[in-house]
Amino acid sequence: MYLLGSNTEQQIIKLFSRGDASAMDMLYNAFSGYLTAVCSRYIANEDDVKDVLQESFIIIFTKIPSFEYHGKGSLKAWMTKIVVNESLSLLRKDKASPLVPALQEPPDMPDEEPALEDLKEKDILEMIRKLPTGYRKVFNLYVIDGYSHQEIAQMLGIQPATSASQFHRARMMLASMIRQKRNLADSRK
Amino acid sequence: MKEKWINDIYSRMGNYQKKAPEGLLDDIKKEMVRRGINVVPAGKKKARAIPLWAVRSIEVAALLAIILLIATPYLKNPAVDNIADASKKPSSAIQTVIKSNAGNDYEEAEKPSSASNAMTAMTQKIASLFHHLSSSSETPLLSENQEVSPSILDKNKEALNKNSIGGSEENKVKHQQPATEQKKTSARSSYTPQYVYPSEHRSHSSINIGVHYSGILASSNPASQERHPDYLADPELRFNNSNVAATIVNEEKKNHHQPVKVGMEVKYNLDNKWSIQSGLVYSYLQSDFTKTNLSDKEVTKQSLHYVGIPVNLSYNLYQSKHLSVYVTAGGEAEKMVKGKAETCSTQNGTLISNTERNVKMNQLQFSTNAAAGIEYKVSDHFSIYAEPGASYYFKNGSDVKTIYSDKPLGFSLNLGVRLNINK
Repeated sequence: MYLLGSNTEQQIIKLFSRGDASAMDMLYNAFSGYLTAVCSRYIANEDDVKDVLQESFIIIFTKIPSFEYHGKGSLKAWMTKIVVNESLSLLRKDKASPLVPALQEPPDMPDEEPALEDLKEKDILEMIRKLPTGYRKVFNLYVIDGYSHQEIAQMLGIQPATSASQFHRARMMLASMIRQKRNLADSRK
Repeated sequence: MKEKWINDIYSRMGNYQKKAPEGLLDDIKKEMVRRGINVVPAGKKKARAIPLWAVRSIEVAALLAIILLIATPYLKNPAVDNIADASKKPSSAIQTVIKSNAGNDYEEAEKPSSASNAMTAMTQKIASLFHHLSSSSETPLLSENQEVSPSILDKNKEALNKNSIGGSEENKVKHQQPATEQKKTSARSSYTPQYVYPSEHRSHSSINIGVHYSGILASSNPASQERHPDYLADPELRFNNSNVAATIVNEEKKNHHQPVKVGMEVKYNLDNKWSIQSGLVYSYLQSDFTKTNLSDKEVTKQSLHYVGIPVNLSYNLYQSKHLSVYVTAGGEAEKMVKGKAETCSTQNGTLISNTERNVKMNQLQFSTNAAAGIEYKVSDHFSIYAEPGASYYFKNGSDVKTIYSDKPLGFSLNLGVRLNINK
């Protein structure tokens, strides 16, 4: 069960500080679903998702005694950072996934915004996972994990302008995927 | 400004959950066991840590007591006095201390004497006791053993180096025995000729109170710098702080500042030659850890406060009206009473976060030290002293990186003022 309240976080931290054997299970039960989703946004391959999560949880369990609670959501934010970091580390190792070269022309962007209403979260996740790695990284970091282009540039070792243009292209590609999906759904009606 | 549909993606995906892969938690636990990571987190350690250090403290104290018990009667033994008489070549005590390659000075000691036999018996006795005591303990006691001899600086250094190399301590004790014994006898014969004291002479017991300042000399030099290119393999290296930033090339630099030690010391003179000191020492350790990744920089300033109880045994080599020269060796148990780590993250020189966390260390920090000391009596009640020496800090199993853990062997210079109450 995952509770968004600070009580769960505080309770977990307390269990860890007491050395309670149930601490790991409680943390896992509370956050594994959320952290799996975070990891899955970055990593498309399911085996890799499992590897990254395993590594991340080991880090979390090992480092939680030194974690300092700064209020509601701080434990979640800390764990998210670890998972994002581990995901990026794995993507970095994967040499076969460079940033998509800028030479490629972005698809045309019609004026109207794509409508998300009919889409389930699961579908959105699958679309994000279909983005080329470079787009996916920047899109996730910028849109969902709330980093600025400046920060992303530093995390990925690229220029802020590159981050912005990668995001722009990712956005175009995602919009076109959403439209395609809608058209497909419409044509079936 | 982000478009509406982008914001929608954020709000819908921000807290999205997906079923975790099957068997993940079991795999994690198995992997942790395989890597030797304690599956039951921190807290449990406390219960175990206390008895362990308590046992060690008792062992150290017991050993010191035994050394004193055994050593004192032998020093009163006329046989020892005979060594002094037998020595034909009086040499300055200072020379003895300063000369690091003292081999030549010891030639005379080759002469067999009843005194050397007595010392051999004594050493063996101590060795067997030590052997018994140290079966459950780490190296601290090894050095304690050497206190029996009025050890000269170089010999201790040698012993400390051996410690750092590692290996079976029991073997070390055995192997060192003959050499120690020989040097011991000879060293005494070379520096005690001028003073032969009567065995019943037991006055001069006094209590000194000292205040000292010390710094580890060698450690202030080029801060240990470490690169961790293999950072991906070791989560320890990446997450020293909770503030985590993605890194491509992660470079970590460590800079341990010279520890500052201030102490109050009580000195009890057992007789004219031997004295035992103990007291309370406060130490302040500061370290800077810098992690650099392109323009991303994370600086952690770690400050640790320790309170320690040293126990030292000193042997007076030379004494005149104003000046005394002595050698001292012993151990210290320190407890970290407070620790903080302040992390400052910057990107392109712009501050992005500043966090502070407490650093905890449940384990005691044991160390052993040996030094040569020179004391100048300013008046009957005051003296100033300087003690250049070496200290060795034992691993205590804590994750906290300190100068003690990174540079266990350090040279130190203690400077202080002693207040002589009882004389």
